[in-house]
Amino acid sequence: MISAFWRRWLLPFTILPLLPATLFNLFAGREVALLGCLLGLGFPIVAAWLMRRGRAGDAGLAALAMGASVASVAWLGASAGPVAALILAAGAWGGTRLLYAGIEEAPAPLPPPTPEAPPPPRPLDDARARLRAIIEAAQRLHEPRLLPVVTAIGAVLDEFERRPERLEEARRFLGVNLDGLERIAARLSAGAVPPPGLPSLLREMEAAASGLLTRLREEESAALAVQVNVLGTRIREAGYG
Amino acid sequence: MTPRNAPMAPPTAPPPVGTRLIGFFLLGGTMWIAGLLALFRAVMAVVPT
Repeated sequence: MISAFWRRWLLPFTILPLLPATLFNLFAGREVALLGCLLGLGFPIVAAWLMRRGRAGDAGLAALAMGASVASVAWLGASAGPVAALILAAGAWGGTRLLYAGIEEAPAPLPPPTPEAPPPPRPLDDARARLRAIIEAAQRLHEPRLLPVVTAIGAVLDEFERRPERLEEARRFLGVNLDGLERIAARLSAGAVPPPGLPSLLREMEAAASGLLTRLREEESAALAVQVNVLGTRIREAGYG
Repeated sequence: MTPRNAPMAPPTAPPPVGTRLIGFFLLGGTMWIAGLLALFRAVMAVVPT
């Protein structure tokens, strides 16, 4: 295992041999050669940053950066021609590959998790939205007598959603109760004065919803009791009981 | 957080020290040659012969 010191600081130190030529070109005013030397100084810094980042494949990129550094110094800084530049670049590339052979690298970062898909719409979601609108209207109008009815209808909705085969019955129930409640809330919002029969009507609606809820549960309980009886009989008939 | 029973990469033997030494001297030698070459060419281009 190569130590963190060598991993972080070796590559920046490799620019030391390039400094005399860089300064000479700076004072001599040789612009192209100075550009080559500056590129030769910059690439090892990039390589050191890559090694410090240490993701998968970064060691290979750092080796390429070192090769590019030497190639720019030889080609632009020393006007050495492509063949010499390629030979020197291959030396730097291979040297860096050998130096950092088998180094540990962090795996590539995972792609950001895709946002979770919204839950599929339930068949009675529109009725729930209407109930929420009625609740908001009741709170706005300071009419708390509507809330027990809304709660009872919401409980019936929960019960019907567990029985998708009875959605038609649920829609019939909502067509009477929920529509009526919506109309009452709309009239109250328009400024109507509650008639004297309204509290009893609301109590009736609440009782109807509660009664339907009770009936649904009783039907399920009766069906379960029948199942238990039938299953017990069959088990006894089969000789397992 | 990585679970403790996550599959791990098989252990690999680190390369021998000689490989790193060769790489070190190859890289360092190449950098020195490039730097001296650039300096030499710059001097030869500036100093009249």
